[in-house]
Amino acid sequence: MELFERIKAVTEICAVSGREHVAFSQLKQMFGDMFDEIFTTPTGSFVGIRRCGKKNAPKLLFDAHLDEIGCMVKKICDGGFLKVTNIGGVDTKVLSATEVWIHGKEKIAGVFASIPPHLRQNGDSKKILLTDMYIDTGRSKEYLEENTPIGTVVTFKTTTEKLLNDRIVGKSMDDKLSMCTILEAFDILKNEELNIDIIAQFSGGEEIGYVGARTAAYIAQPDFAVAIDVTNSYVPEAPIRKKGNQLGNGGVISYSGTTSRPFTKRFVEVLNKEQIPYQVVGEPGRTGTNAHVLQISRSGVPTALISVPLKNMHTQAETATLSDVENVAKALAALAKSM
Amino acid sequence: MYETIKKYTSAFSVTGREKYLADIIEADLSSYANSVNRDAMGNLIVFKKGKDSTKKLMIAAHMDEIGFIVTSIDDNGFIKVSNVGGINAVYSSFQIVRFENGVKGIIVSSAASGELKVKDLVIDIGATSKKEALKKVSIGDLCSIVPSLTRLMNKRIAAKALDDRIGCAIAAVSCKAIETPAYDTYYVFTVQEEVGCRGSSTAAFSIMPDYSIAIDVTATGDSVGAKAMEIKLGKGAAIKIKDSSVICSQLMVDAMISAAKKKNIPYQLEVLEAGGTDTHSMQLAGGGSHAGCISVPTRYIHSPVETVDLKDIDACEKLLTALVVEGIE
Repeated sequence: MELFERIKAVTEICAVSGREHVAFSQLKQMFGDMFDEIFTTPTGSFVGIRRCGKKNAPKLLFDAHLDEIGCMVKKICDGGFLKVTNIGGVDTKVLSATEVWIHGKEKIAGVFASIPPHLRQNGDSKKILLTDMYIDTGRSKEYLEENTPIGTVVTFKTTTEKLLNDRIVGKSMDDKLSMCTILEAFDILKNEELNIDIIAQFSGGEEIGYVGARTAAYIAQPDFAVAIDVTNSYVPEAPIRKKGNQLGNGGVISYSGTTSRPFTKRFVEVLNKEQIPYQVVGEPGRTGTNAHVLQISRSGVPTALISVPLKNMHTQAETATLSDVENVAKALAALAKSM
Repeated sequence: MYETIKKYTSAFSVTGREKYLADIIEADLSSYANSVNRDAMGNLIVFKKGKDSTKKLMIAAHMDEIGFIVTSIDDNGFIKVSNVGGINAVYSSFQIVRFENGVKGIIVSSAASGELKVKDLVIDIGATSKKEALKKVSIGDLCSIVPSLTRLMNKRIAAKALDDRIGCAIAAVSCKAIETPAYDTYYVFTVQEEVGCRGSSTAAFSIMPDYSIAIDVTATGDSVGAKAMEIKLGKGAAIKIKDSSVICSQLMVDAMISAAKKKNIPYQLEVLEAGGTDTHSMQLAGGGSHAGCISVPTRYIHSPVETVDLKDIDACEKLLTALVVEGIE
């Protein structure tokens, strides 16, 4: 599959945190034959394993999260309106007048109601809270009660598109773009002889507390792990210290408080040798990615973190660059080959 | 059920000191179980062998309740405290409290007006000096509001610590009613839920369940000043879909809805925007379990007058029993 086509197919999958299992059959159909074994977990993770065929081979796990932020119906109101709660870090600033899919028994469209500027009163300019917002569906209350009961998930209604200069835009690039880096790496390694088993872990529930990576890694028991996520790229509004990470300069390798320094060093050495572009970032804390839970899985797993730079994170217009995806894929493949 | 609730709410069982309630529940259930154990954390684990021993079901109801811990005593004998769990200072002020050793006191607040915080609360046990107070109370001692239980109209009751004695009572009554469960079933009466689901976390790790069900309280949308929420008191068992700690497994939500429909048990669907439950820690144990939660609609949670409807409790117990007897899948 061509890279953009793959990204489009994967990012347009609906997999709101906690309800990722709806994507399992699609994933199996699209990518099932890339793996020797597949398992799924109760916490929404889809895991594919490629065996190298050697006895007692160490296991290298690549993790990217399958889940995406979204909303969930919490109340059905008169007049065809729905009240929702957020799943993960939804930015209400971008919701107003946004089109959404409501994934009921029948998938229906809706739009977050917005007060037009003409009708706004003094004081209305303050930050809008999700509790003040409604999704307008144009349907009857009876229909909504039957078709979109409490608990129904809601996603951005958007398609993934190409911009100029190898840029791409769409929803849930966080973190389906990283899933694509793993799939691309598996493609690169297709006919390579490896000394290790490689595991593609598409984990659930990252946006709601890393639940899928934690539990799936417990089952997979890797010897080494690389978390692949997205990271905020520099934009003019960002603090100057962020200037180091820009779209198009390759994956961003994290030197953090909770990832393995020796394993990260080894990863960087491979990239230098293979002349694969990358950027670096220093992070004091837990990085806000699955890297942290992978590192402390069972008795501990040496873990590195590489991220795809992204603009407009957690919106319906997440923007990235194809070359970064390719370079992260090459980086993962090179690491696997070196082991 | 009412008698069980009364018995359980009257026990001293502040987070970290749940052994008195554990003794009471153990005495109630030991003759209905294949085995009864206490683990190092203090969880009470009541095991019933099932028809199908290839699958494990864990049920969790927490024994602990929120309370206060003594931090220091001033020269006049006033006892300064810190909260154990989510204490609301307004709900707690000018209430009578009881310590583990039976000593009673009153919670008074130093702030006459304005927003009240836990740090503004002190306990007066009648002591005239620090020395005198220290004869009765030590640093680190725990206390909570004295037991009370009031019957209201419409089969409603108000009591302290219904969070989560009501869950313990439902689990206990259901445990007694069931002859043979579908799966190997562990009724776990957990400790330290109010400080981060610590008991259920270790218990779930040692049990490694395939399915797990928490029984806990949830807020209602029909209370004074409530947030938008569909749950109403008296409208049936609440099947949890989400709270701030967990998104319940679809498999469990579906199993609960289908069991409720089949048995004509009134139910409502719950999306709770604040508060966590043992569901979370059970879902994350080891490689993870299919986790759900049956919630009891409750008004004024974490106050001395938590209010529930006995009709809802009956529905919750019937729903739990149906799931345990007939299985999940």
